[in-house]
Amino acid sequence: MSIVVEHLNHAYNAGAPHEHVALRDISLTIPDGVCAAIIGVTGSGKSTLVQHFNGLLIPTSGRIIIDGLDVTAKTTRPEHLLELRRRVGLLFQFPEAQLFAPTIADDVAFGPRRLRLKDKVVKERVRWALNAVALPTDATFLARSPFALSGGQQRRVALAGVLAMRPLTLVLDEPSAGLDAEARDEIYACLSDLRAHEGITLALVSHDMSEVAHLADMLFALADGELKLSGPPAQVFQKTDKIQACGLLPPPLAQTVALAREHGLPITTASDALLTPARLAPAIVATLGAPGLNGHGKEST
Amino acid sequence: MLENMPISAYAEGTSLVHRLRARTKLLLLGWLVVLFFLANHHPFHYGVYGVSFALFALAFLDARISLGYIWRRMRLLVILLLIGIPFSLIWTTGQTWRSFGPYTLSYHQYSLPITVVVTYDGIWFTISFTAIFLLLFLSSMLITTTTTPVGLAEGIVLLLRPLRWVGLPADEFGLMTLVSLRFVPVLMQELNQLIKAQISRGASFSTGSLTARIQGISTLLGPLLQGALRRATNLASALEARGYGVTGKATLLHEGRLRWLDWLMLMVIPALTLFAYLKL
Repeated sequence: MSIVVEHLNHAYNAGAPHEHVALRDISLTIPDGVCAAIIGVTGSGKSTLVQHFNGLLIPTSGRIIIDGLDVTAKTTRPEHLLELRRRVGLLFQFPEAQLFAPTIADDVAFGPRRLRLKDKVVKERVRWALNAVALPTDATFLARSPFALSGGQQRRVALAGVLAMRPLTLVLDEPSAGLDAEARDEIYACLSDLRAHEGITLALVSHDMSEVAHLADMLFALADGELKLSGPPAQVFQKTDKIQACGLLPPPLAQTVALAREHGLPITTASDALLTPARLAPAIVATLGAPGLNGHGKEST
Repeated sequence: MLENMPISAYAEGTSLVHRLRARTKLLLLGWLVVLFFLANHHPFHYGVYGVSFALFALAFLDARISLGYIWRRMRLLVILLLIGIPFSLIWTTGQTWRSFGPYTLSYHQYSLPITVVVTYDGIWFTISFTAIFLLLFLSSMLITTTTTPVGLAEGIVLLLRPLRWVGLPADEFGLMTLVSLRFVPVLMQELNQLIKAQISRGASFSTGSLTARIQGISTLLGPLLQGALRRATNLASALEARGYGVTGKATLLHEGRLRWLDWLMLMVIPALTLFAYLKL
């Protein structure tokens, strides 16, 4: 399911004296099955943008078409909204704060129950969702309190709660905020698996480019409510000046290459070499002319 | 949704009333309350109430608070008072002014003769209590529109300070009030975020059946309480780490010393109203 945004504008308190324009003329497309990353500093409008994806906000002007549904005030009647939110699951920042039920099973089952599914189906969904986030599904675990888990596990329970509604698109606002490296890897592994096995379209919001580099197929960089950069990560990473103009830091590898070039080392790379060290190293070595790796180069004296 | 709820009624300004200290306003309010109830026992002497209304009118004019603003907030009170007036007119004992009736209420074979008696006392108490209600409401509106919440809290602390000698922890009350004021916007923001998160996974708060809405609200209580308690614990640690001690007086930043304007008002207004009480 695809999301098409056309000349979207959003202003908080439109018309009032303290009107605040959060989004200006945003146009982008997130095709089906893709993993898109929306990047920007705080206040750039990323949270505002993703809240349009599940109908929490309606454009002040412009259009947003989610899975063929043009989201306007008329089409977001309560009957439509629940269906929209079933199809587009949105997980906010620090989602462990939204856990409320006495047991993990109850919390994950909240969404399916709201969809009026039968008990058996609900149980099955809960099992599936917990499996998808790599959490146990035995009875003891299901009966535990959500608060008896670590932060990373709680976050995965919250993710399971959204997954249990079987969304076609998953939107995550800073999924790795506040997690240690191990928990971060776990979450990203879950997301990769979901994309690979279920074909769920992913939209990640982040302020860290390198974090989403290896997961995202397309990057959209926002600054001051406007879309400044878009494209595959490898391409975007080369435009270090523009990235810095957005207030963001280019990934360390891109920065290194840019600085090295400035200081006279003419590294020529294919654009996707900037994504991982393993791909960049041969290019550097080739430029330095060291023997061994490629067989070329000068003899050292 | 909840973003636009104002925390306080305070409106910035430079009028006379704005420039008074919170303590002055509170002390004058206390004085007026005492006087209003004393004046209640002087039937048909409207002096105090009349002078007070005039003073409030002047204060509101000076503070540039519009009549519409006042009326919008007073509507409900006025309606309640209007409902209460007939009862207080009829059911007060004393010297009769007029009596209407006797009317007879009958239901099948039962009949009840009723005489509606309006007494002088009834009329006076109706007038005076209506006036007192309205004046107290106006005074609270005046104070909250011209005083910042922090200023009010500190003013109360300073007024209560003398009671420390009998064991009342005035400064602690002050801290509790100020911390609550500080955290209201924070907690509202958190509630807003929580509502959006729960809506995103299917909860409904403003639509759907009653059970659905109650279910929706029950998803908020636990997390909200948790968040508030977590903040409280963190704040306590932060205060301790900065040397907060349970005894001793803290410096107050917003409520300064009483100035010439305060002393002037503290002398003029009681004098005026006392004069009205005694002579009018």
